[in-house]
Amino acid sequence: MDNATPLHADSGPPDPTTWQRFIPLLVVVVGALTLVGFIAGIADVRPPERQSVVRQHVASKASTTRPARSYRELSVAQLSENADWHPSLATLKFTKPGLFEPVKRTPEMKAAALADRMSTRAYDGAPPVIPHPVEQQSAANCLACHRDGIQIGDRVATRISHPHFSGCTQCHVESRHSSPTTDEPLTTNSFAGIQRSGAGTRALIGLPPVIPHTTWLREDCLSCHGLVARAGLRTTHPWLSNCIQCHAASSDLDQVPFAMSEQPSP
Amino acid sequence: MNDNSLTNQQTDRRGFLRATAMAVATSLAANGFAEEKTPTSSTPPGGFDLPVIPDVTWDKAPCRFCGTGCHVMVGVKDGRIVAVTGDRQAEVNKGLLCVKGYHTGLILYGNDRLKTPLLRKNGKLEPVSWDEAINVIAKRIHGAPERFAIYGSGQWTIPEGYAANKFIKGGLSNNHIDPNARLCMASAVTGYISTYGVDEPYNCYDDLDHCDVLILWGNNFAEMHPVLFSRVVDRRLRGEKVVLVDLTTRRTRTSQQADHVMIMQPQSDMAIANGIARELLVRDAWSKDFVNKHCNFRGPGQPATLMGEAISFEQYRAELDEYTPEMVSKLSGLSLKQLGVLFDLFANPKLKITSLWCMGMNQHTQGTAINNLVHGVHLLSGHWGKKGDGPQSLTGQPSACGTVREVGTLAHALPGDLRVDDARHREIAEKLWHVPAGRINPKPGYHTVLMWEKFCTSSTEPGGIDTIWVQVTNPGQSLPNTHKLFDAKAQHPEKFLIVSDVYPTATTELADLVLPSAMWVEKNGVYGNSERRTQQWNRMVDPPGEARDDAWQTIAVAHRLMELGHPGMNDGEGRFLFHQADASGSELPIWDWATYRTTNMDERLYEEYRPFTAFKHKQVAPYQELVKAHGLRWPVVQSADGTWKETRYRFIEGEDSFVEPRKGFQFYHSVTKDDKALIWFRPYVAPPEMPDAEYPYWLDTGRVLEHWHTGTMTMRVPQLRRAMPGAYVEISREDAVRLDVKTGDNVKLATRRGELVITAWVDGRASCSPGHLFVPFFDERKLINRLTLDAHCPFSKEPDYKKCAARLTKVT
Repeated sequence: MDNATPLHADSGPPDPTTWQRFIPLLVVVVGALTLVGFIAGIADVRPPERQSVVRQHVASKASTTRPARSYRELSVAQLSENADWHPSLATLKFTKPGLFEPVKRTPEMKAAALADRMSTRAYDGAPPVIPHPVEQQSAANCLACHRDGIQIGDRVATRISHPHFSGCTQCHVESRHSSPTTDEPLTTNSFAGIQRSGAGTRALIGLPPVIPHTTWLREDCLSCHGLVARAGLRTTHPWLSNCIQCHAASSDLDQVPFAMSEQPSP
Repeated sequence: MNDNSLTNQQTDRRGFLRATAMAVATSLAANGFAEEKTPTSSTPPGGFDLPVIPDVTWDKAPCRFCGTGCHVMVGVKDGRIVAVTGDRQAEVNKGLLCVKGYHTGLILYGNDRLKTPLLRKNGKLEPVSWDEAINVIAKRIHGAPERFAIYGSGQWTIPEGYAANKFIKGGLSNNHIDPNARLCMASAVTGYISTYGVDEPYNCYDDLDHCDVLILWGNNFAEMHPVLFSRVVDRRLRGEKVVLVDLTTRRTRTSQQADHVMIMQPQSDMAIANGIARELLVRDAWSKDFVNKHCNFRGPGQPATLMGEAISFEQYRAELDEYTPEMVSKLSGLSLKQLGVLFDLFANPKLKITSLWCMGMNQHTQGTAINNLVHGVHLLSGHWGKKGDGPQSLTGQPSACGTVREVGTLAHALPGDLRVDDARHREIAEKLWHVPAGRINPKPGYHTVLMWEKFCTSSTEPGGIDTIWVQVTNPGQSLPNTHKLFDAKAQHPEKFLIVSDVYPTATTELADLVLPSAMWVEKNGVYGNSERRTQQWNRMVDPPGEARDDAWQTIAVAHRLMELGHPGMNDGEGRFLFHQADASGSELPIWDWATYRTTNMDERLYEEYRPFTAFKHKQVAPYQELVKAHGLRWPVVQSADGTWKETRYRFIEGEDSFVEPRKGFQFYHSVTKDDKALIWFRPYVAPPEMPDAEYPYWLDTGRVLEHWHTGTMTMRVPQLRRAMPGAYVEISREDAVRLDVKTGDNVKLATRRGELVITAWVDGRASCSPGHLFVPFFDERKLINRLTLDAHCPFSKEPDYKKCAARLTKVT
């Protein structure tokens, strides 16, 4: 037999027909393994381990967020509407108002906007708490929505009012924790903070009011008063973009910090 | 200001002010928001920058929490705090705060404030009068003054700590006083003393504005010192380049911003530092000129001691020889490439490198050694003494530097960095205190761990401690191995625990007498932050109920002891130890609360303390100068024209007025008495407890952004509590899969000292490496320190909370 001596070093290259004979067998074996693997794969109904670890606690809370389904689960999932499900995308879509669209603003709307604003603050001037879960290890995601501001339905993500400070989580924390522990307060707290400082004064009726609050960390007026903002606080004349041309910072409220009283004149 | 060399700068008062104003103006302009508001000359004199809101008055104070020392402006209306804002005149924080700082005002208003003294009667704490409470303490001390101890705090104000120190050392001739700062920065102290001959950083936060490279040695800067962290990373927004190196055992919010995240094995920081030093020698990249002129070499000696022994350069080189990159890589888990990054940085003399550290290097069984080594790497490479170029330790408490290190509320110390075991120092203190010679006991008292060990063992033993008075701290939650060092007190009914605090805590649980204290702006105060900055504030609101100042409590007890006939409560002239006179010379009864309240005892105690600070060139500013300033960095020296000048950098000519002309650098308290600093070799030493088959995990503990230390204040602020309501164990994804543990599952965590059922969080606030666990210590319902190790650094006596062996099992 020719193939009886393949181990001899001096027997030269093996006859090509020797290994070619095994090709059909190899094809059968590979095909069988693939089939077994495929069947075993689709038969394994255990969820993948990686998913079993991630954020299970979110699902256990009475949260509006639902856990994502895997592709495999979709085929058997009983999908139906929930409270947050909107049947029409059109109702969610927010069209940024045009610059010259009239702005409707009533005292009630303004009061509601201010009350909403205060609801996330310990006092006027405190950094607002974050009314949604956040990525725990990084602040980079904040600016995805808050850099320019965004509105979806009636939910407004106002744009950052102090773009030169971007370590968001230094000052802003979640209003409802993401950590898996439960919140059982030990005690209550009776702190009562100052509310807003009131409407801006006008020298004469019809003149533009001065800014009724400090502009420290609130340098970008359009964060609260721009086109994407709480309705009751929006400016009635968004086409005039240079706010401080007419609205002076109140000298009472907003004098500058760094002129030391003992500063020598040059 | 742009000249990096500090040595030739003119820094008279006017120049300094102008330079500071310029720097602030420039930095604000560079921030891009200063255009419409840089009117420096048109600003009205006097009050500025705070909202004029009807009936709200504003006053300055340092923040109550960490050692950064941010200044806040506190708004008060109708006797209650109504707002807090960042102080824009403060150089530390330039108008910014972190979330805790903004909510500091709320810490006064938890509804369970302690309002009346409580004495344990038949196992229950019952209200008593102040008079009775003071009597109980005085009698207890009078019975056995040598078995009494005070356990204080880096949150004591300077006058409070000074009063306690004088009372026990100058009155009771007893040195058993130690602070919680022993658990916090004692290793930094021994590191500074053995390197430069005198304690505290030579540099300041200005470095953060100038460094090219920032190396964090086991310091989660983003969460622990967020305002300082922003001060660095916000420079990047202005287009500056700052390379951030995060040497860490877990991936944190700091890591997210870092250019190089180097995940190292616990304790391997020592090998890394030695590896850098060796590589500098191998590459011949060390700073020969600086080292030859200004440094000596030092080894630990046999056996190792704090001050070690002189070694030659050749010996130093030989000792380092085994710390090859390969060896260091194996020990630390860092790749050769990562080590190469560190080597290249330190070998580049053009870069300005700032190293920062806090608990990672201090809470370390080799804490003194690793502090020595990091100073050494900077000295050897010449990355020392230029603006932005040097090593600096951070502190965790608002007055760890001011009240502990400067006032010397440590078992071996006297005010002004003096020592009880030095006859000359005792003589200085006895003279300043007007007490008879020999009053101060020459034997150092018990350090923290030993003090609590003695308190938790039977009273029949000689040298025991029977009574401890705790002020402004919560050892029941913060001591390591608390079953042994605190909870065991319950088995010794003859022991007596006195606790002055503002809320019920884990410590008041076992207290026999609880005294309600005034907190923060309910009293006058002086703090000292991490960069030698002394900060003063005024009382702004009244304390609730019968709560009273801690310093008053000490003085009232001292006076009662005098009435009981304790001879130590009289000074050398037969007057009360805390004698105060009014303008006419007659005695002020300051032990009487009403008199105390109407007398600024803070100013009196502070001015009495101030002369102590001259002996080690740490002159703190006069009280009235502090009133005007937003903190001043000592030494504060009076110029010829009568103005007071602070010091940003010590030991550097042109900056530090105590450096002789043409010296350049002068370590005028040098250990070797030759104006030179020490470059140390200290060998790598393995941790005392490491993971094994039975306890296979590394357990690390620490803080989170929202909470400060044991959470007694921050857990009572709804905004902070809601964001982080309870402790958890952080576990790696790999370990979670292996143990079939999901986020939210309960797990049992056990060490050789105790166990705890706690909620698991997979990759939560930070990501642990496989085999590592992290638990924050703020939650009084999850006392993690029952599990931690009380092994401590042989020199600083500071325990290691950062590494012990633990076991984790799923609770089903």
